[in-house]
Amino acid sequence: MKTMCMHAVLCAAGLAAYPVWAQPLQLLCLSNAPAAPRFTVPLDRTWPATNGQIEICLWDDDRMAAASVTIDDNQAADHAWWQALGATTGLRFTWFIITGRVGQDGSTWPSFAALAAAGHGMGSHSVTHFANTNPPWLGIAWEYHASRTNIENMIQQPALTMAYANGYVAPNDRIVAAQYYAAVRGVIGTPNRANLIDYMNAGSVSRTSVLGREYIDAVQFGTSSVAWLNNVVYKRGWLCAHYHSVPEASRPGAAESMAYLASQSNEIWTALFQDVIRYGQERDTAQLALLTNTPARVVFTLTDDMYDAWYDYPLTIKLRLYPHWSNAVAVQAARRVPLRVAATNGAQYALLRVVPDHGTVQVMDRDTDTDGDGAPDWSELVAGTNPDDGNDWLRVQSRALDTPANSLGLSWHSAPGRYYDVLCAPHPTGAYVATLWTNMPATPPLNSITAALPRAATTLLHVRVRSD
Amino acid sequence: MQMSVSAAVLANIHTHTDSNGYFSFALTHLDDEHYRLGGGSNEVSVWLPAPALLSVEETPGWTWTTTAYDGVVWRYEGEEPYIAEGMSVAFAYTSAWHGVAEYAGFSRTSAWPAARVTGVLYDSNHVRVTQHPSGDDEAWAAAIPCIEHATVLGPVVPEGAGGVLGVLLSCCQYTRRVRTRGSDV
Repeated sequence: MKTMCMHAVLCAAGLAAYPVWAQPLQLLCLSNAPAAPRFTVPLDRTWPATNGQIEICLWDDDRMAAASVTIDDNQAADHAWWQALGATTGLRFTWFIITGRVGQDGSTWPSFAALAAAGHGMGSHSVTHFANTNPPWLGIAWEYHASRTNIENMIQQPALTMAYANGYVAPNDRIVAAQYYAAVRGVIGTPNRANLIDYMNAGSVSRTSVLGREYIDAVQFGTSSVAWLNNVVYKRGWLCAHYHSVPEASRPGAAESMAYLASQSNEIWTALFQDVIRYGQERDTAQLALLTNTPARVVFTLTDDMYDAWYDYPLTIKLRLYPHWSNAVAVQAARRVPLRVAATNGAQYALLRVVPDHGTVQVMDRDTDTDGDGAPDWSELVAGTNPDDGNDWLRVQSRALDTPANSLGLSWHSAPGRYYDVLCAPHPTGAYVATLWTNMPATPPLNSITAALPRAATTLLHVRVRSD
Repeated sequence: MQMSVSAAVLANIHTHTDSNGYFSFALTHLDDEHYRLGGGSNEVSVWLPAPALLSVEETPGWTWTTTAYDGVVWRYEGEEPYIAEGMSVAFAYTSAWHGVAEYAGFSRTSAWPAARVTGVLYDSNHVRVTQHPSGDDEAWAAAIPCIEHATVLGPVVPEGAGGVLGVLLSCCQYTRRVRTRGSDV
């Protein structure tokens, strides 16, 4: 009720938060600090025991732990160094920008845009860093709202996260922050326990140089050379660190730490702050429902309570494959789902990247053709035809023989939400030599084109379909 | 008189004529190891130049119709997918003209247009190919229509034969199966 009142206040002040924030099952964030563990953290990877069984992995790609590296206060002098470090290690970092200082402290929007273009994340660190909170200061909602808007206007990508200026002390207000952000980073210097993450004040350890093994080991192994970190409760947690200026003398140590993190990429998911908090909140509110489990097909849904426009980071779903599936494929709604296969103890598991609330997921062997029409089930799901109807597939009919000159009429039954390309190759295994049509929207029930044919004995017109 | 031309990749057409206006054509699979041309009902068609057409033989599972540019098109309408391999399928017609010429042009409007075979791509296990074999577009489903141009033999069109052609075509039945020469093919 309190947040509802605050929303009304913000709207009246012209600082309208996002309109869906209070809708059930479309939460902008998990705004409350958890009073109790949300779930039991498995201390090691788990492996479903029966074929077709599914589970949500704790972290992306079933890694043991997560880490994020963030940089506060613009730090213009360090942009190039961090940029180069990212290129060398493959890691990506999150910048929390004091928007009112851009252009005044040596930092520039083009420089941040270049970092963003390289894959680094951008978040808010307020407008003024509360340099003066006396009148005519415009208030905390303005600090949060205006900085976010400014970043999005200048960088042209969502700024879903913030770091509290000065840490979570007055005048910061987590209830106001929850109107604008998916998560906010604080400065409490402990790793975040996976089942107790306070998304409106996520813990972060301050570093000037080395991000030492004592912290990294704590989330990866639950052990540490530092007594208070040597605690299994941190195992499989999320280590967040924040840097300010990194002086020349400190750079080797910081670089070595980043290189170590990168070397542990199979075990530690080092990712943007905004990606980790999205994965976490999707996971924490997710419901996984197994609808069908047969040797021919596994069907399930993945839903969550989060705002779909923000929370579209894929969760990793682990599925124990049927032994006869030599090459598993998955389709969510009409899209192929990226997957990789892991093997352990004689069984194979698919790690599927599934976006919550984006439709039913169907997993099968690549060659499964339930209706025997020659089109594999997965391709029928993508094309929008019925994999259980032997008379329905992506059937392309030509009118080549009724058309004049060197042209070909093609038509096919099209499905809503699909887009079609028509490409040209001289041989089944040959490269495309021409793109005749691209991104042609479906015009159900039929799409028709007339294509000019090359002067070749053999022409293969590749009519391919994807969903939007 | 027989001839075959192997410029195509997946399928080709062999022509036979008795030099008295009877032309028969055998659709054959070329020896590609991995791929076949085929298709379900209405996905496979064969166009042949057929000036001065008098009659067309029935080919089981296929229907024929005359087309513009002095052609006949056969369309596959069988219940099971047709795959071009093994036994060839034969098409035949009789023309009022007995001379023999090579039809090899790429365009329907050229003087001597080649035959054209259309279908979709199958693999050697008779599974419809739904991705480009290079695998560079895994997220896509696809159908892969194939068009083969094949050089064939057909009737020589005499000089100034346009007026005669209209009269001859009017004697021919359109868009229906007919049988005129039994099992001569």
